[in-house]
Amino acid sequence: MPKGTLVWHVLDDPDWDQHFEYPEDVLPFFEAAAAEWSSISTADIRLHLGGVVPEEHMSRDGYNTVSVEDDHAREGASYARIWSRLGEQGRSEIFECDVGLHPNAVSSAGLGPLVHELGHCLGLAHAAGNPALNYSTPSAVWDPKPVMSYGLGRGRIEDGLPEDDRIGVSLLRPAPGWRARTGSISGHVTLDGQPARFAPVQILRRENAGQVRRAVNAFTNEEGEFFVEGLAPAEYGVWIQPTDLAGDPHPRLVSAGAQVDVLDSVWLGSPHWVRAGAETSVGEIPVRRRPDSR
Amino acid sequence: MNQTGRLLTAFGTMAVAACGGDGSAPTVAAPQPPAVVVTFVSETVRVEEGETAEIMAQYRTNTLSTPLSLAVSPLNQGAIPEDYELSGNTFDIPAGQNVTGTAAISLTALVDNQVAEGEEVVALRLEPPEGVRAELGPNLEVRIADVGASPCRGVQVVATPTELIESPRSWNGVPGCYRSATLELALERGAQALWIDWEGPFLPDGFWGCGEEPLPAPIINDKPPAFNLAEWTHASLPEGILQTLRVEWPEPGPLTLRFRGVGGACEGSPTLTCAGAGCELNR
Repeated sequence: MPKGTLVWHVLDDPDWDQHFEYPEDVLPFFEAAAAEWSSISTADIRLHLGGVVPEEHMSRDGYNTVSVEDDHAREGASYARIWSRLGEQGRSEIFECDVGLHPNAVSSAGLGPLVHELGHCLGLAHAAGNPALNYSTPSAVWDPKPVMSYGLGRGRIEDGLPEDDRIGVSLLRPAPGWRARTGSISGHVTLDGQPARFAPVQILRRENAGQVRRAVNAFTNEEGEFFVEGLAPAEYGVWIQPTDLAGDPHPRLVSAGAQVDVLDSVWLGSPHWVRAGAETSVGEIPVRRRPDSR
Repeated sequence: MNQTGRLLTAFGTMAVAACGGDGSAPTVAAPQPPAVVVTFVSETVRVEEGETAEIMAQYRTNTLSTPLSLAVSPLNQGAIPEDYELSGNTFDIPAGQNVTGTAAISLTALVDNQVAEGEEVVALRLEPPEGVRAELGPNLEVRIADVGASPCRGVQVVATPTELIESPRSWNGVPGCYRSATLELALERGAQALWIDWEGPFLPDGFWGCGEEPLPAPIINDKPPAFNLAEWTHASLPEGILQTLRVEWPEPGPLTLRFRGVGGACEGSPTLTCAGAGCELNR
């Protein structure tokens, strides 16, 4: 979306009255969700709610809107409808993003769904899920789950957005000077000697107290390569996982041949040092196929 | 009473006194000293898996008329015969008077595939020789220390006993019984690259619920991996690094990890499996 302050408007939709007396009462709800993104110190993000507009401002008129939608094809789902056009340099530019919230997303699911959809408006796609099960109990390694992922706990945001969300949006809209203070890590994942396409890659950081925690997740490209930027200088490890079909958050990747039948593989050797302004290559990472197919 | 009566009385008293005053049998003569005295030099010995301890026995003869062959036998007190090897546990004591010496017995703690840390105990007993009056010292306690197992060159793994998790766990609302273990992997400085592959369990393998009647397994289309890495710490040590992982998985498991290295460091790509009985390394 364009740089500078991004303005949303509330659609004057009668469905709001399930939760608010007036559409204007949506303001605190939106401001709280917007603040999760605009408070990221490493990003340049300004989101503002401009007021209430008539329902006919639904789409493709330059008004970013937020509304309540209960007739979406997928029950319980909210959405971000992104409109783009070719810009002067021949690149696709987003000019409008309309967020439709399912009624359940307004009443009981907390800020998570709106924060998630605003993340799409800012240009973020879905993050990879946690390796293995989404247990109902926390993991000191994987929690909090990125707001841009699917899975349990996405509705609850505590102590700000997880690092994966913050780094992702900062790469799109960096605060001045931030990128120069970060480094990157790259590698090449193979399966049976061939590129492992669109495989989720978890980058984990060793923190000062020795705790290992997930920092960022990414995906390999068609060539099985990954390149993760925006990392604070520290020691990092790598975990390759299969694409998680449960909940199907990445249907396009699956259609394009994402690896769904590899074993979770985690690096246990000496961690890799990432330094500011430098790329750390971990080389080739061969993964193995599951003995049984999914 | 006349004089004789007094004397008889006195003798009677003396006689009674000589009998101990209660009329019992005469006291036997003092026991003869043993022909030989044998003891272990130590009371307890500790030996780690893969190492050999030399256990010393010392002897002193009083009057040993012929050479004596003395045996040392094991009494398993937690250890099993497969945990160790004994050698030199029969030794000769020369005949003679006031002869002293020592004998060395070797106990090698064999490496097994169990990765739990702990100790097994075997007591060594000096066997009484036939036909010879011998004074033998107390048993020697040998503590065999498990130090885990080595899946790869320069890597040692130790696991806590697995335990059922008391607090409830569920997957997408389906309750289940879950087990956990803490794995410690020590990598020597310069150890080759090390990967582990998580080979199981996968959903919906196993039963759900913790009671006598297990719940039917949920219908799951794509069989995702069924484990949770709850905690992971990494410590840098002078000799290398120590990775500590606490893992949870649904019963009955087993949790299965396979070690992969480069340059043949993990010969045979061994697997670590953990279930109710504990964790073991298999090649």
